[in-house]
Amino acid sequence: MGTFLWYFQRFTALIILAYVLFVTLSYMVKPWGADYNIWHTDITSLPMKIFTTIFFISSIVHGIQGLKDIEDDYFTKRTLGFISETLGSYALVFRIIFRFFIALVVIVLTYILVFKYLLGG
Amino acid sequence: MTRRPTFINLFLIKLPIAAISSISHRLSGIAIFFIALPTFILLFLTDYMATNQGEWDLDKYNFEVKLLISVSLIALTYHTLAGLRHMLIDFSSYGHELDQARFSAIITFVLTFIISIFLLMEVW
Repeated sequence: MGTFLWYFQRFTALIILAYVLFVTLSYMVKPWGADYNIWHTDITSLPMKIFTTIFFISSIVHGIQGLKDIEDDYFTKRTLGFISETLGSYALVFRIIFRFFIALVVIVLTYILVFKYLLGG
Repeated sequence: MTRRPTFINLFLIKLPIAAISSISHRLSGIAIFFIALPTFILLFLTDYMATNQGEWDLDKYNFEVKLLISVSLIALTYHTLAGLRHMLIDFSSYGHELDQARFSAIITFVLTFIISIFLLMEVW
């Protein structure tokens, strides 16, 4: 499972890179020079909706794996205990707050993506 | 008699350039997850930045939005380049030696600086 996740993080990285390069080189570098209608028509076309959904799922999976590494390295009793012992005893609280913010971002972005972009755009 | 470390002051430990590269990779990853991804999805995948006439709303392209886009682009540039360096180390024999790791880390920072300037010139 660990090896699978290790490869999967790199695989999702390549999907994200493909999407970002495609969009950046096409529009994001200079969105104000491009007509809004061109951007809107292109980004809400069916192929781009599929590509964006794959990109979004890849980003969340890749991001959660990376953020979990950060959590395991820094928000532990040991690491926080280097700063102060009291802080170290609250490691679990920091972990839960950190996870809460991650969950918040994932829920809000999923809501926007599904209802404002995939269904509404 | 063995001397065991009883006191570790993290501020006295000097960080090599490869370690700074690794920490920056993590920080830029956090910035992407909490800033760049929301900025892209909330501003550009919805119709927030558009007027009713179907044009870009330049009033909404204000200082704060420019700042969000700038931070996103810098973080994304660095994270991508450092990620490619990481893939190079993972899947090839390059980068396992100290001098190679140092050199590639410096190259990552220099390329980030150059590409960021070009991208930010387009934003501002």
